[in-house]
Amino acid sequence: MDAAPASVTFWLRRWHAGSEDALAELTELVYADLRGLARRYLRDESPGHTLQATALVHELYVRIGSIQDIDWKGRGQFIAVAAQMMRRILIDHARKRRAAKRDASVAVPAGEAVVEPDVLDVDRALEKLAAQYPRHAQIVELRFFGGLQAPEIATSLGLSLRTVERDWQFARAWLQHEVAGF
Amino acid sequence: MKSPDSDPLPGAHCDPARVEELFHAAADLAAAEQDALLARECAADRRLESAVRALLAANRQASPAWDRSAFELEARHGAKATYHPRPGEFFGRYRIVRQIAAGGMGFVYEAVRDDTEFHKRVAIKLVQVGVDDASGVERFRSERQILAELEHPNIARLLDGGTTDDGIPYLVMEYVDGEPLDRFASQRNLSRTDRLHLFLQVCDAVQYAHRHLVVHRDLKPGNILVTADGVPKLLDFGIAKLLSGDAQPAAATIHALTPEFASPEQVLGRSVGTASDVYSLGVLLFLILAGRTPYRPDPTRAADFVKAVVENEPAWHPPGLILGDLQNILAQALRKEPERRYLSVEQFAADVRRYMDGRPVSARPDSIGYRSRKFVRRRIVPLAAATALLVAIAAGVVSTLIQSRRAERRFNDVRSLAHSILFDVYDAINELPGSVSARRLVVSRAQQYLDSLAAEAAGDPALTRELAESYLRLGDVRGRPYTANLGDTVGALESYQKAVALLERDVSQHPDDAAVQEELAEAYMNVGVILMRQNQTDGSMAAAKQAIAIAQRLSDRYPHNVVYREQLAHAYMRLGQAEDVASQPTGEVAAKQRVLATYRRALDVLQADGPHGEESWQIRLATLYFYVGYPLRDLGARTGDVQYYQEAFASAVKGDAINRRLAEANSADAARVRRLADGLVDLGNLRWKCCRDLDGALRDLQAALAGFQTIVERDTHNLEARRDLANVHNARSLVLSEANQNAAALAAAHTALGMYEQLALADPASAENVRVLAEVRARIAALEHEPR
Repeated sequence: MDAAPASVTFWLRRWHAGSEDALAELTELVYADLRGLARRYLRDESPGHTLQATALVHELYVRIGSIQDIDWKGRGQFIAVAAQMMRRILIDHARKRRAAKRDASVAVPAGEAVVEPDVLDVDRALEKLAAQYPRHAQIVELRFFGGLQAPEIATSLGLSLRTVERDWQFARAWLQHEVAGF
Repeated sequence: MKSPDSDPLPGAHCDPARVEELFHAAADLAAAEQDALLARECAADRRLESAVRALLAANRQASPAWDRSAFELEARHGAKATYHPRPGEFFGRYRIVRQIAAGGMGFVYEAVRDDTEFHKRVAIKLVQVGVDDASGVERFRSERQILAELEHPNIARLLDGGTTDDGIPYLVMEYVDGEPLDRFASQRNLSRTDRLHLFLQVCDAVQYAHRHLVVHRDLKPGNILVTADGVPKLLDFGIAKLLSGDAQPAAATIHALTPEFASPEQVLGRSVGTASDVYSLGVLLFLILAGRTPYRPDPTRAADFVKAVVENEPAWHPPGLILGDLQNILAQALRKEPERRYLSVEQFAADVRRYMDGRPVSARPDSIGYRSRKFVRRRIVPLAAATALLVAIAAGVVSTLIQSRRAERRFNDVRSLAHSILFDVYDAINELPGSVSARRLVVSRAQQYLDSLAAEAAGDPALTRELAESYLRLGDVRGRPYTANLGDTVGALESYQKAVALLERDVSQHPDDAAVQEELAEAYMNVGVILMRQNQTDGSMAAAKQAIAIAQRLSDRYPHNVVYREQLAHAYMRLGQAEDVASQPTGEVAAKQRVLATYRRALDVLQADGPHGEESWQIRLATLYFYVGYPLRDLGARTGDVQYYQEAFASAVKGDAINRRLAEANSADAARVRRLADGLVDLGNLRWKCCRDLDGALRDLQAALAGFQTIVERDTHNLEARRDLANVHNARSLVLSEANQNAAALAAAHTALGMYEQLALADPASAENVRVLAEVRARIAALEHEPR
């Protein structure tokens, strides 16, 4: 039997009641759960199966039924925490993947023109972005790492949809320049 | 891709807000307008202008990948990243020597462990599929544990295993320096007798593993190496199962299996048991005797192969190679239907020994006559159908074959399902901790399987009955109250209701068949209990009344049959339970009196035919003594009349005496221990209520706790046993709070609360969980507000 959800409910209530430690506890508890989910999804190679962080974060929600009792602002905060966690998980995954690639005796198929941003590069660039544009960086975190859509981001950060979309456009150009050099 | 530090950041030395403002202002403009805008706005600030221009260029170039999530990008790399140790590299304590094999399931390396005085050669297997989440890792661990316990001179030992930092599971096995079985036999030009001796050693190892509930599933020459001194060693025991994760091999795993040696049920993706190993051993024996595998021409395409394995008879040519008894032996091992092969490897080996000694073998050639005899004998085919079959045989061989094959296939489907549930699910529940999700998967497959068969079953009474039994079994596994189960009451109800529907149809067609009626009454009772747990008391009472009506008819017809008498008493007890739950909200005296009357009726019915020595009768009697106490206790609480408690206590004492006698007669029987403990909870409670004997009551409860704890320790996944533990803590808190020992009462209530919360999570649909949780929470709140 999975013991986590009981304590998750407990800490959610405590957090909602204003306990500061509760969020840290909650993060630890949910992190383990989320990582389990992520690992499962990341290994699922079946074609036609669209992998989306959104699905993952939503699955996390379904698991934590008691989060429905928390108000929207609390939910927004929780989503932000979940996105942060996803970032940690993905960075971790990317690091391991790189390490494995270095050791690989079987070459990874070459010739894939690398036009896609690498998750680790994005992570580093995002930290720099945060120094100058903290709000934009948060939006990127929610969208790129958390897999949330613009309207969800707007709700959880208390911004207008237009602001979120404009910020995203700017941040994307900024990161593209930073990561790809043009 | 450039180095992040080589260029200045866009806008690094400018006002960030200004950069953004200009970016948005210019983003949607044409090139010429952009130039004009920037010239105007940036004036002489070259750095600002270059920053904005850089961002505008990046905006145009921005990869569409940005609109995907990091998750998606990462997932695309994810699964392909695999760890490959190279020679000389260390893998934990082992130094890699070379790669031995690379296959669908993973990579095998030769390695040495030279950190100790002795220089030990091992084979390390890196597993690539099947273990991708927490439950998979847990399953891997418990399976590995079972494999580690296989100790046999002809089985390569599993020495170690674990999971790399990347989560890739690995196994460390004894390194076997030898030749594959077939090559060994042909290179040394062994005599037929020597070959058979070698084969018998292999059988011995497989048989040993089967006794430890491990099925090999991938027996082939490459997995049987013979050392220079002629000792065969089996590799990779149970690994196919370990990889496929649950009882049914996944399609992916089948590809990884070696098709020439896979059984028909394996290539069809059906459930696989010991009979599959019998088949593979048959192929092996064929190979070492004939120098080739049974089917020819050698199919090379996978689809042809499946067809050959499932449909073709072995090719016995050239004539003279395998004759007479040996052919019969092989034919029996290679039968398409698992249950028509040798029942065990032991029997197979025994027949080979008989052949070697020149004694008559048990295997018989297959024939139409044989088939028809077998069908008549089989319980599942009723006489009428068997007669029809005989007529059909007379009419024409072709139609017989079609019909029998169809009947047999369906029979096999149900049979293999029952087998899968018995062998895989039930054993898994008892033997493999921590694989709940795997068990649920098997159960849901079983459900689908049965449903598809049920659609076909109309008009086939034998299949209907077999199906009903399977549904009942399935319901039990999912959530039979008062026994070990998966805690899925909704699923259990569904299965029981399907069984009821099928049996009702059967009863209407065969009104004189007592066994079916008995089964139907049982099914109604199961439905009733689950409905009661879901607080649907009307439905629960109706189901109990159905059961009473059936059991009464049977009991009238066979007045001295203790089984029907017990069943009738049982049905009354179920009715009383449902009435009791229904009376709970109001707790009216009249309603409780009705419950009491129903339980007393059950006691009377049970004892109407005098005392019986049967254990089940004794158990029923003890249970009813306790049940009579429930409404009495409620009446005591309602009226404040202590006489009710005294009556209840006296009855409980009688029940306890029976329980104690049974438990003392066999303390290894968990069910008896549990019943005794169950009764002690009531007894302790009543001892307090009727006589205010707190010490005595706490002693009873302590004894109950000890009993339940031994059960939970034996089976950590038994939810009912956990509920029992929670109930004792709850009872303790109740008694203590009534005795005004608030601190102790509060502690006990919290313990109970924690346990009930866990139970509620495992089975959210259970109304009983909700009710009991509310009750405990209310008590906690009350206790917290009282002083002390």
